[in-house]
Amino acid sequence: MSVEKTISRSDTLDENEVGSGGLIASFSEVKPLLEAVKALRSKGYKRIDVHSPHPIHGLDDALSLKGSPLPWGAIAGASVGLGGGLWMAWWMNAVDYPFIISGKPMFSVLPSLPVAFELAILLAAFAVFGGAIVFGGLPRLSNQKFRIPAFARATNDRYVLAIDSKDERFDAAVTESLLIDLNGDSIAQIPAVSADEKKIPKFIWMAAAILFVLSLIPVAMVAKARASTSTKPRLSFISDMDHQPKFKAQTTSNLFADGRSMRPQVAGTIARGDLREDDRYYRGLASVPEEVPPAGESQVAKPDWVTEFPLPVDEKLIRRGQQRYQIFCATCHGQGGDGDGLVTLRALELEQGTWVKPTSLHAEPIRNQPVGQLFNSISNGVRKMPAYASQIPVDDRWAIVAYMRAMQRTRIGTAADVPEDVLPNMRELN
Amino acid sequence: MASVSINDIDNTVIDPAVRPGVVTGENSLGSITEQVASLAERPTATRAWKIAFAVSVSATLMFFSLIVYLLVTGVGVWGNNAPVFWGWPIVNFVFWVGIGHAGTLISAILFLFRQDWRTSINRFAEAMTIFAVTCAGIFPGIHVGRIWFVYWLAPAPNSLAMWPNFRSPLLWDVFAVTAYATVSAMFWYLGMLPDLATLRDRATSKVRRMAYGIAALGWSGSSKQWRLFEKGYLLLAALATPLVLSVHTIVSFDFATSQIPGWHTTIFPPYFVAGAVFSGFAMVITLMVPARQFFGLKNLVTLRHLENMCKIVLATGMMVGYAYAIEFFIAWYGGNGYEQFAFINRAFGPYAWAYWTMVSCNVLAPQLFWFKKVRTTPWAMVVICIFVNIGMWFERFVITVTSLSRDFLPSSWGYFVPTPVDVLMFLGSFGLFFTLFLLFCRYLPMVAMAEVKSVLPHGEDH
Repeated sequence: MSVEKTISRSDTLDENEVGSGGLIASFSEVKPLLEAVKALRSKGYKRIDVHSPHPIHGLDDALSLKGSPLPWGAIAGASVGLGGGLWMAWWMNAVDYPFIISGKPMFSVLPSLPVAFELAILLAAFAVFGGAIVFGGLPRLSNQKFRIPAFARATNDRYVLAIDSKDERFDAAVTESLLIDLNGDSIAQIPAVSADEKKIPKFIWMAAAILFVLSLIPVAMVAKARASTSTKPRLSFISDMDHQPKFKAQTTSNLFADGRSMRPQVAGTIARGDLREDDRYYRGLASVPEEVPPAGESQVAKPDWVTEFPLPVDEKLIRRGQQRYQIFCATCHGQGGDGDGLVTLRALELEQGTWVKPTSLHAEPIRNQPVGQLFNSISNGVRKMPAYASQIPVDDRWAIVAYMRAMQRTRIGTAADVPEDVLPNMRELN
Repeated sequence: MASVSINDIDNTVIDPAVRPGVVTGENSLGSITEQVASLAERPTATRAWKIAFAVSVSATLMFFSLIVYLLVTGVGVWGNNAPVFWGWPIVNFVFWVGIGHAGTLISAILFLFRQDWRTSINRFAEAMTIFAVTCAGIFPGIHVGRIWFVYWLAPAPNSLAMWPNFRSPLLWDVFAVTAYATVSAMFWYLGMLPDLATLRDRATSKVRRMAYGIAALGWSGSSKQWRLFEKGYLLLAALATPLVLSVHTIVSFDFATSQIPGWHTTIFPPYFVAGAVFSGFAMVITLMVPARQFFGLKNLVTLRHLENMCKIVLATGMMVGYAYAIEFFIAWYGGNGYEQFAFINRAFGPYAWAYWTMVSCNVLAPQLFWFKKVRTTPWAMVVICIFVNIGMWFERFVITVTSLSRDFLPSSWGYFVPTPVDVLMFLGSFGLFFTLFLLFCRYLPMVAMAEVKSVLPHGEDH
């Protein structure tokens, strides 16, 4: 102990440094340190700090340190996390991208809690961690006290008391003798901070500038890509299944003797649909052009639609057609075929720009279409109307055509169309 | 006071008249600094460290090579296939996350309960937590298959204009594990700041002074910094405590919210948390005993520390055993045929070998800790704790694989067979764990010096 109490002047500073930033004194026990702090406080010193290798209890009172803002930071972080978590679950799953999961409500608190809870803890921890570091004046680039060799033991085994020269009571000689009286040893001057040293070193500015410029490069590249067009294919970092080792239709391949990637039909087999040979029945065509028109002749021959039904038409067929029409067609075309179905009316009411009102089935061009063409329109669709071949079997499609013909006749029919023996009854009904 | 050798004091007996300290032997502030810091200041590593490091780094390289192989080829390199789509990767994930629980538990919960004995082991256990969570995080990350879409796990705006499902426990899991890893790392780092400053101030080379100087952020141990440090550390402990309990709860939701027989049980959250603490403490003992021997830390990590941890292993082991029994009881009491089949199948089906391995390692082996002789014999506790670690891996295997391999539809039953890639990846994850751990032992303060100093008696001669 006694050896340490002698002040070694050579220990204090390098020769070229000027010490007027304050004074430090070391202690090896807590008790004399606390006594020294109390004594200095009673003498009116205010800018006292203690550096120690572990927290010292009782020091907060001696230095009258105020409460820390960390708990408030924790509460704020937790509130933001909890609120933000619930908001994310609600906005992302109920508003922006509604998730429908077995008829459950779009948003409920209970399943949203785990994420909100974890975020509350995480953000509160960020606030506490950041607060503990930043309010403690960290990270700190330089500290004059680190220039004093004796100060290094403050993180090891000594308690170091420091008095700032900005303290009103500070006087280098008086304070130093006071510290000696208080049993402090290794008393040393804190080097003054020159104007130069206050500045952040140049190399840090340089590094920051270079990093800033480098960080602009990706942003600039993205901006350029967004503002300009390119004929090159997009960059594909992960090709995924974009490029597959497979042959596409109508390409060559040296895998097979005939050099074609597509395989001809195996002898003795039939493909799906091969047996539908009756063009009148399956396609509504009276004849299929044998050959493709020669090159240069842009004129495509008008299809040769059948004008007669390719199946016997009776009342049963027409009744079937009526029922099918009401299921599949009436929603758009209307019960009477005037193009005023419920879907159409709704679409017009909503002023849907993309909706095309179906042509009335009683319009003259439709009325004059051969039955084959009507059949084709149902099978393959026309303009905005989709194809119904996959939903309505062939017989039913012809039944609908037959019913359409019956409907058309209700508007253009004359008494001559009605059998002689039914006519009187109809007159009575009228 | 005459010099007292370490072996003279038996601090496993708490005699109020003697009041044994947390640490034994004659310690002063300087001697603790010297003892701990000098371990991180050795100019060259010891031969044993170099050999261990070479082995670990090789295993780590194998691990990352296999990950590249997996990403290039696809998840078919694993044994995962219908009906067992969650194979070893998920087993390994739960295993490592579980191990990662002891660190924060020791640091946070024991801190809140003012259990001073934690101070010698908390740094060590926290480091283990962070490294275990690192290993854990890798497995679900690569399990997604197309890892370049892994950002879909996060609620980030993307070109699909789509958001993740907040009612899915898998999303909760992402948040829980991420939050846990981040908070644990902050807790560890904040606690290490003063010790990093000590290393900075003792550094003899410029490189070391720069490196520790940057890491210590300019810590000077001023009273204001200490005040904020103590408050911040206490608050982080208070925040980490519910967090550590929530993480394995949420991991258990991955299973419990599904309808698979054997998974769909309400006991899973407490059962998983108890199992996590159990496996975590077992891992701390497994690592701590050789480390205190090797680095000469017997006076800081005393037999009392080890004995206390053995008691926690015994207690949590019995909780886990209770959960195993209750699962069977509820399967019978619940009257659900599928559930009953799942458990009979577990114990007597094709995976009976795995089930009984689990029961022997987790329930029977720790019973030896009833004997004080076993609790105070380091090699015996290491052996038992290795068994516990094996048993806890098998617990996750049994839960994941037996339930999936035989669920509702017998026509889709199967038997899971791991591939060599499965096995090597699991071994590789140990390589990563030990690589990080050895680096920690070599370059960072293994014992929280500042905390040990604050539990020493101050103010009088000693």
